[in-house]
Amino acid sequence: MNGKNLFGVVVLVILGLFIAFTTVKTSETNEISPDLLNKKIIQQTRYFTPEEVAGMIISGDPSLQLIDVRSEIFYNKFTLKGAINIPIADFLKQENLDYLDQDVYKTVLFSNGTSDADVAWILATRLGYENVYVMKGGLNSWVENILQPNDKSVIWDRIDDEMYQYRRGASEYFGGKTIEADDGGSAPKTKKKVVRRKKKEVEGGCG
Amino acid sequence: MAPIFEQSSEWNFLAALFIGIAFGWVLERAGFSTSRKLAGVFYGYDFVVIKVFFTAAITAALGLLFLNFFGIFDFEMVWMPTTYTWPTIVGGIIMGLGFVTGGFCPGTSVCAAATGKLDALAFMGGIIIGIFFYSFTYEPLWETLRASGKLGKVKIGELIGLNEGVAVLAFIAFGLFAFWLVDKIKKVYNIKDVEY
Repeated sequence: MNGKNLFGVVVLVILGLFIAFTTVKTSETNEISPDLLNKKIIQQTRYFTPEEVAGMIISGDPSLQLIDVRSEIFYNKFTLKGAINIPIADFLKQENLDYLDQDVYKTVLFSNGTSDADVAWILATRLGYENVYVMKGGLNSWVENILQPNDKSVIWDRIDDEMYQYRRGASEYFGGKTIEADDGGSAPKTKKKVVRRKKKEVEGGCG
Repeated sequence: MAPIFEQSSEWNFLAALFIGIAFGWVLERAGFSTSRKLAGVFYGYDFVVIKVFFTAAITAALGLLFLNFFGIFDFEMVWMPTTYTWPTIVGGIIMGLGFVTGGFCPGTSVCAAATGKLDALAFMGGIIIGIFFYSFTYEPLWETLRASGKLGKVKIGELIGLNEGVAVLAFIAFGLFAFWLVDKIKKVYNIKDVEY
């Protein structure tokens, strides 16, 4: 064995011996770091608008997983088509986390407004789950924009018009208020209709 | 400190590009873009492959443990594949057969193809055919095999009851023994180093 080889062997053995007496440090938790969480929180891409969610439901997007984080009572009254119910109080139960522990589905969380779903989103994201989103504005925005899209007598611009047409289409699909093109006068009648149809949707949603 | 870039960062692609270029350059400089040198280990006239693989494994193992020791590197952040016994054995045989007949492993074939070697290009063509063959025959031929003999995410050290450091020390001892052995073989059979 020449000098160069001997030197290599000695170095390797010393390093090996040293490392043999150390223990591997592992981080205590699997949670993501605060600065990464912060980066994720400020990204607007974590939100889906009700229109986007409606589009996914209508097109039957197989990768969509809707989770209603409101209590069971609200869920039974009304929810979105195909949504499963995980009340925020039970959110961290293992059998519920199993719904999040995958990378196939886009999980969209929603509540009445945005805040409860946001809390659930933070819990899920801190635990390191990917592909979790929030429906911006929650069901309030859903009812306002999808089930009862405002009749606009003045169309401001083309984008607005397209969005309005889209909402009207979605509204018809989900059985909300259907508005005829220039039918401004029948508002009370249609309003009643909304309530009734909404209840219908409940039955469908739970089944 | 590590990872330098967040897991989903686009910078990872750039890092991968430069690491890949560096890796290819080192492979080429080590003579790994010639099939005669690579296949030599199977025929017993060139043992550089064994030495390089052991050196790489020991360097990486020591490097990771030292980085961890100094608190720079977190093992939790490292993705580790699940071990499946039977598919690993079958895949190893197929890979070994390809290696001994073609004279390349997948990575070195790409490296050699980049230097313009025709046998490497043919080898890469074989890889692509193999990928298609596997994909189209996955359900009838491979699906059951692929999931058989699942061991979970295991490390050799854990499996034989040693902690990481001791396992690495044992691996270093094994590597040094392999170095000594191949040098001994070369000396006994009077094998000379050849430049290709």
